[in-house]
Amino acid sequence: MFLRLVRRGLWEQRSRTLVALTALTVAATLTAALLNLYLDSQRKLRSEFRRYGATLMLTPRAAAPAGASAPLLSSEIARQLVRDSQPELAAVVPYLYAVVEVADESVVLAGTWLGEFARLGGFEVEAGSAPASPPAEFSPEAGSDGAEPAWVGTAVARRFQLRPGDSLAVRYQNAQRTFRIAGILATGAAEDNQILAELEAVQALTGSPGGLNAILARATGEPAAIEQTARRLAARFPAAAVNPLRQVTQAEFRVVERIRASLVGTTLVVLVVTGLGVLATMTAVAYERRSTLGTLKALGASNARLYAVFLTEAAALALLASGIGFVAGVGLAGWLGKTLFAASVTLRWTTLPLVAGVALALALAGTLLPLRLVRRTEPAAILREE
Amino acid sequence: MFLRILHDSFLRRRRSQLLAVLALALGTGVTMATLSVALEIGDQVGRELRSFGANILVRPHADTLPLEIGGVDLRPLSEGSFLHENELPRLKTIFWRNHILAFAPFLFQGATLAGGESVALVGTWFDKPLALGDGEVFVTGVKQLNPGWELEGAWPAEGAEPQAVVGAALARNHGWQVGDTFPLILSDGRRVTLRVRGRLGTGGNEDRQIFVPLAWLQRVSKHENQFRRLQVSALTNPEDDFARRNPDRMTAEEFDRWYCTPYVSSIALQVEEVLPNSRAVPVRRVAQAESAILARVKRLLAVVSLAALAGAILVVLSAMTSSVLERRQEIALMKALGAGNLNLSLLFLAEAGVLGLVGGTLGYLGGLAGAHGIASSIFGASVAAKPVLLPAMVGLALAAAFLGTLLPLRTIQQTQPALVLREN
Repeated sequence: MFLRLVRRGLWEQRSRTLVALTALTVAATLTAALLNLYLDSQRKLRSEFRRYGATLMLTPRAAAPAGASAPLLSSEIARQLVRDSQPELAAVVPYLYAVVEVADESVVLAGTWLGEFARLGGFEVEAGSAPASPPAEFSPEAGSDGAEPAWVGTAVARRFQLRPGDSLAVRYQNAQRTFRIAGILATGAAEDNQILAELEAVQALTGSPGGLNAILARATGEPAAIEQTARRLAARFPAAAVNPLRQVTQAEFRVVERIRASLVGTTLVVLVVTGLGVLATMTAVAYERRSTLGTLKALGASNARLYAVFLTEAAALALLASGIGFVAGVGLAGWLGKTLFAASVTLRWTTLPLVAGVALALALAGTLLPLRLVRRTEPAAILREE
Repeated sequence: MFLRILHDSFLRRRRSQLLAVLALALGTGVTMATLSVALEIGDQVGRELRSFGANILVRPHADTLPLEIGGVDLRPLSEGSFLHENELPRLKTIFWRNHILAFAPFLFQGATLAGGESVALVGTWFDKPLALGDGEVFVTGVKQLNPGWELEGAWPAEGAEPQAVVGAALARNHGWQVGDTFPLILSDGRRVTLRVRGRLGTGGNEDRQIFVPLAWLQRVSKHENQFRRLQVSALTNPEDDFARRNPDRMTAEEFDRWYCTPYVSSIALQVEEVLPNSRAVPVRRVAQAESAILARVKRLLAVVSLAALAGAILVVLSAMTSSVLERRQEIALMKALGAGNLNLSLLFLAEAGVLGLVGGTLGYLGGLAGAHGIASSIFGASVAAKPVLLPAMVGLALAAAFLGTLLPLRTIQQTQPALVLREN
């Protein structure tokens, strides 16, 4: 009898049920989409900041002794940083600089791991190919006439009229080496005036195997976490001074926090408004059924039983709506994530109970409000009124 | 007669009409608030991102290759070409002058410390009031260029005594405190004594440099009025495909549009135009990240605004629909008295029009206050009232009110007066 009442209540008034169901589904969809989007936004936004470059800088701790050239870091440190594949280090870019002669003019030659350099980004390829590490079988000891690939900055290319495919002979003191230009890079920074080559080639040319001037690394996380990573690395490599690049980390943190705060604010406002709309719809739908209530009461139904019937109806609607809404919302969030971040939003099942809870609360509250009004009224009065 | 019925409808059903107006005001208010916050936050985030430092770099056009290692140019001052300091006020005369937030010129010179350690001297502006042609004063320098820098002490003042800001790593190695003095041997062998005014810890190359006032370095190196490099911080729009096109290959019309949009590349071109013999390039790392982040933030907030709009329409539709349906008997009575469907529809649409106008205006005002609240609590910045949005919001409220009336109108037209009235 109870179930029949609920079923008929929903079925007999299909159009009203549909109105309530639509309103609840819209609310559930919006809740699911915005929640999923919000929970993913921090990670997605942070990954955008990757393009700002490094957040950690490792340099030799010792000061340059009088008259001698600057001390070097061991490239073993960079290799260990990569080998440990620390999850908080997204890229490790070592640098060894040398001032070399090209056609009797001084140019800075920077040796780095080109693959890692490319991963840190922040350049545009004006011609040729993007920097990439040479294949593993490539031997840096190929000799002075080997055609190792090198990338040149725009200013260097302009100055010496270089194009991809050209060969470039550089001289360092008495040593000489020939590179093949693989591409021309524009960064708007120091690299515009430099020649970039694979680290081992520069180490061989300058006779400083295993030496580095600096390591740039991209640590991820909040400023506090980056400071902690810096301290940990400093303890592990006593020869290196490890400094977080505060300008980058703090600005990044501030921006992400503010974007998230505004997202929370606007999302909450949207949810409250949608909730109000659903509440109004549910109330109107329930209020219109006063006469049904009156009849049931006149036939001897107790208040508790009436509550149970109407609330069960509302709960059934809410559960159905949250199921549809969750699927639609996750789909919406996924599509938005693709268009907004060019990456799909991770499906979070934890949001399902939240969405169901919101829909249930709205449906029950929207039904309870008019029921309370009706409870105080005599069935005869309600029925006569109609 | 028509007006009297309309007038009566508002007087008799005050409570119900008030609810409809409230729903409309709430809906448009929320849309208005999220929309203004979305518009404003784009600008605010853009400003916030500028704390990453310069996004345009200017160098002399015809120049030997700078030997740049660790952020300093190692060429001796006898080599290469220079830009001229007295031309810098012109930067504030370009088309997008108000988007130029800060700039600072740089001159580099090698020097030796007492122990024989070689260091880089960087001459620049710190917090310099620059007199512009029109009598205004623009304060700029590395302080404005890098608002994120943490300085212990103060920026040097340009006075008789040479003052310096020293990098944190150098200061630590030599035990320099704010107020100390230290001797320095310039590249021409002259000895000078500098007083430490501040210590700068950025974690980057600046930690190993000594910053001195540009004017002082120009004087001691006999390069009056000259500098090597200029950093500019400009507020820019996200770069799109159009921004990346080569301006040389644009039609005159396209070029105008490109030139009059604050892209980082068009501002760089405008800087080049006012500084003779200069070459201005966007700092890709900063510009790319800024473009990507700004574009995404704007789209993210646009999505939230759309969601707000969807929620608002839901509220308004349900309120309007139930308000019309409540009046089935009234409609039946009017029909029985001879009112045509057209007349009735016009009456209800006129009512909706009044409701939409009032609700939209209230919503605009309420939304403005809401946006102000959100923006000031998050960014500490106020939202400028955008009067453009008033007609948009009233239009939105009108559209929602009409839509909410049109949907149940079909029911009105199908109403059989006799049936409805007998039901009573």
